[in-house]
Amino acid sequence: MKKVFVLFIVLSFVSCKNTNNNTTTNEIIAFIIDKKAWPLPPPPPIDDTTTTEISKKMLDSLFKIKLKVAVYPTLNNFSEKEMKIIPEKYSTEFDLKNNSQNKITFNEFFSQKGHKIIVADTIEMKKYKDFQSFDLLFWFSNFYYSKDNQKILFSLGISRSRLAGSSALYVLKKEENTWVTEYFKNLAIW
Amino acid sequence: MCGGGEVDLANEVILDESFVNNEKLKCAYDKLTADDSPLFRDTVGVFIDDPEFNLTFKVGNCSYSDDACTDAKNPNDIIITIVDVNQSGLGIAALILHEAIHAEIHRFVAQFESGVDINDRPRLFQLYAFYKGWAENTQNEKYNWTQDAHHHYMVENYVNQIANVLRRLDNNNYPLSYYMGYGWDGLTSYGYTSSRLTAAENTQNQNLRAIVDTNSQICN
Repeated sequence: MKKVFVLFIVLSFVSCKNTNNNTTTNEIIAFIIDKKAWPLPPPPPIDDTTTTEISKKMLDSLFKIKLKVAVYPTLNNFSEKEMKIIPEKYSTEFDLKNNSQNKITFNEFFSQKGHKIIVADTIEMKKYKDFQSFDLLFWFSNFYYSKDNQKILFSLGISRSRLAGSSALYVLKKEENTWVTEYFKNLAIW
Repeated sequence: MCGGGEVDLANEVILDESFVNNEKLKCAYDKLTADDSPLFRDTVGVFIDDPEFNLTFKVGNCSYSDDACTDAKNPNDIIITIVDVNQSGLGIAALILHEAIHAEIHRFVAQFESGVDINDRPRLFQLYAFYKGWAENTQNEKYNWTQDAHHHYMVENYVNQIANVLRRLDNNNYPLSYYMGYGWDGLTSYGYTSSRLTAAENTQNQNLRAIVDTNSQICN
């Protein structure tokens, strides 16, 4: 009976830890989307060779646009290829081999900027090169937490269509209760 | 090559074993090489004269794309990975051209950084400055804004060229309008934003493209 009780305590602890990480992960996903989901500004007119800055007026109007953002439904662990590009210092700071954070509850995203966050319909995505039911796709890797839970390592691909996107590796750290980018590296473009 | 792939001697481009062994990909690549269009020469072909820059084609996985990706972390050694090989031969040729344009722009910008005349392509650098500034203004500087500059540049310069090449590969079986859908692959949101494409035009392009996809025998 005593063993069963101990097992129950241990399982409860593990379960709480995963739930907490899930909550944190969902918060981070929403935070990243709020940070990086922007409508595409039109380019400067082709016959205007002098404009190299976006106007304040256009920026203001872009700020007001609410987007429909899809999150890819699976989060994969880093591939061997991705492991190789992680800076050495992070290889020890994050437990890259034994990551258990791979199940996310996809119904708790809340964008503070008013974007609508949905789960991507991957069957629909296969039919068309352009996204039919959302503006942007955010495809996250699994999230790797530092031992003290104050840093997160992940990679992310952001696409405007199946053939227009880019990916990058990120390390975020918590500073005064908010996440800031500590490390960033571009990976690929498509 | 040690891995069993090929070095395309005409273009000095490295074709990985995975690429060479894929019948459809190799067929589409060979058709593009034989066609020797200005677009192919100006993208894949430019890696001929510049021994400092390698371009490798392979088949594999891209972490966040089920279609293809171009890895230019090291611009001197650019790798194009094709993921989606289950599409029409013309679709694959369009995919190769799309990624090759990315590779060539990466090469060009890297060259500029080591001294190439900026006036060679002022519009490209204007787009680079514009989208870099936009990312900074939205406090989103940790975003690869180069993709937006690349894709707008593609819309302005390459959509028609891609369509033309594919039409020629398909033995001019249909008018050019039937191939425009391939040229716009992945670029429609950029077309809408720059008012170079409407939803109605895109629908028409896709309908015509479907006819070509059904009937074309090229590398299928």
